[in-house]
Amino acid sequence: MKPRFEYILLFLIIVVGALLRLYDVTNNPPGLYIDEVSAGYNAYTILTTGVDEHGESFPLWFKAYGEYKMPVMIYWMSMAMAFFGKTEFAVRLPAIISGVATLLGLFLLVKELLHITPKSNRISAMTHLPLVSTLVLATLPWHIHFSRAGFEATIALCFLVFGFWFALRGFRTKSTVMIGISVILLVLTVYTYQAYRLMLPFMLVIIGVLSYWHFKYPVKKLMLPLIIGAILLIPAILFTLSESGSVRFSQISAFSEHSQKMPLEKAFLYPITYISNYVSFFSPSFLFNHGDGIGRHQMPDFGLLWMIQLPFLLIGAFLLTLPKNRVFKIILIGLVVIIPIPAALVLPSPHSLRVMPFVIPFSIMIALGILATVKYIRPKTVVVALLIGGVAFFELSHYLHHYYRHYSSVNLMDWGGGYKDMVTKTRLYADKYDIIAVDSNLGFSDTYFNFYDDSLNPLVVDTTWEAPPGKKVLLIRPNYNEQSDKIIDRVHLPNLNNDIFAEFWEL
Amino acid sequence: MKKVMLVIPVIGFIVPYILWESCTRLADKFHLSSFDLQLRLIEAIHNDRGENLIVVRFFHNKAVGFGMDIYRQYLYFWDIKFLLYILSFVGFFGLVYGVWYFFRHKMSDRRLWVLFIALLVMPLIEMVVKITIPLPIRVFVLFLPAYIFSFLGVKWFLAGKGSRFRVTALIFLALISIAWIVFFAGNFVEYCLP
Repeated sequence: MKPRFEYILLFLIIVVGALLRLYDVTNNPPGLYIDEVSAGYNAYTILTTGVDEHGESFPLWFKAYGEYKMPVMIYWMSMAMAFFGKTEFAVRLPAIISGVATLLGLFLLVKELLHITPKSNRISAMTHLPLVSTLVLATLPWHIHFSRAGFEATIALCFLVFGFWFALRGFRTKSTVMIGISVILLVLTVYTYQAYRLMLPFMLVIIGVLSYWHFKYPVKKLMLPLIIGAILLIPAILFTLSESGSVRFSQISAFSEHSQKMPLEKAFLYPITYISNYVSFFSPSFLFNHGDGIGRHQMPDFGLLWMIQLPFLLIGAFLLTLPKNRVFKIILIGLVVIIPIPAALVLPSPHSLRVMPFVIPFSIMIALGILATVKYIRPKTVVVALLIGGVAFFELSHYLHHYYRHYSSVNLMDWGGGYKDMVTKTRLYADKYDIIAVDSNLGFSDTYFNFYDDSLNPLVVDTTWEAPPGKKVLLIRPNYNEQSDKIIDRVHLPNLNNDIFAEFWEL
Repeated sequence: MKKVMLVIPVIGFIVPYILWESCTRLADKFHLSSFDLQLRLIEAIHNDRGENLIVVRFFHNKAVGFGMDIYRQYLYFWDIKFLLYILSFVGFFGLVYGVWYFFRHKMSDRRLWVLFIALLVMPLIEMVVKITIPLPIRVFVLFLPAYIFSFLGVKWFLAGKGSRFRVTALIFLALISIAWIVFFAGNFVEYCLP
């Protein structure tokens, strides 16, 4: 294929990928979920006042609901808000850009992998691997879904892919600058998403193995980038070792349920629990049936990968075990083994967000499987290609139909549906009341008020709260199935039953 | 030594097999249900209020629904944790290695092809056929091709170079299998009905 034609196809694939990640992104997913809103509000206060919601000036770690958030996405959101204001689009823009950029990154990475693999040492079907891998990733439900909302993991994945690409290119061209850029990008993953704090050392082992075995890169030349990387990592290491840095882990540790057991029992239980969690990430039901079951992480009744991709994934994985393709093998099998290592330490397991980097090796393996199949059945290529293409097209259109027609109403509550309407409606009544109070059972409502209209500043109260005498109070509370003439308005959810999300009581 | 080691996968099959004695049938998720499908279709169609009827029927019909259900339920049979309760860690490793080895080195063997096809087809039979046969027997028949592939896999694995490493790896897997059954036998109820 002529390079020019290849780049035109790449451009088209990236346009398709961008459309799938961008179309109607402010309305679907239907609302900002609590982490997006919290990050968005911090980004806004950083942009406007230079402090986070707790008054700390340009913090490296953002305190949020008993844990700490990584800084990269929040600062990036701040920049997006400088252009687009405090909007849902600005909150989701970093993930969208990262999602689309990852497509380019994957193309470059696979191209580089082919470049450094001698022709004699690769499977002949691999020629079109960069384009097909990119196409697979561009249309992968797992990646599309997480690129459409403010998920840190999507941004970290982008840094990871480009980090690997710069490393490989740096080793090939003997460029210390490129290796330096790679180190910075890989360090950035740690400041973007929690799981990389544990994943990165293993990733560095893969890169180290490649550098030593394949490229025979002089260790001396690696010293400067590595020292810079180590210095940049010091704050993250200190944070990880601190009490604040381990709060999240202690909350979700997979071993906490066994903490009361005898030491001897623990010696068996801990590794078995870990292995049980680890293998769950490779379960076909998790990958192709229903994901992790968390409504925010995928659509109900849809897997993380397309059903049609299962045989190609198996074929691709099998081809990787053949004696050829050492570099592919080290990177892809290495990634598949490493990615669940941190995720298996915590609950719930499996968890599709924590192992999102799987999309990279899986896209390449699926593409490899497709190319090998097409090559093997060459005399009947058209028929088989039409058959596979037809099923793939149906799956994609079925997915999009569910995404745009069903997901926004069925999974509304997973995305904080109703909160925006609640704040908007409160604004209409605000001037008529002395006090605006919100029932604490409408969880996290203060954060939503902060984000959508921080001038309202409602009082968060519990169900036993009584309005002070002589004050005109607007109480916003969930529907407790009580009838009263004090109810002046309601917020309904746009789902099939038009369920009541909140009621406005005049006290 | 290697022949003695072949006892390990057999024990690996027998020990978890005891668990199946306490069940009468596999959990509902392993069986097709047209009633459940109908309910889901009705709900999906209701959600499509205002949508073009052709589009609605194109995406929500029994053919598509059954096709997807068959696929999903078929995959439940290949759930790794479920297989660990059938084959144990040693047996599961043997199955994966056996299938890999078959495609790598033994593709010309027709008997193995028959076995491989049986391995793929048996879960489909279990999904649709409703015969009252005691579950332990059903499980044995259902996974007979898997047991054989697994046994062959362990045998082929032991026949490779570096036997000390291979024997150690198998013993390690056997220990994990024992710990798995001892500590996680309770989770087994997820897969069957008493």
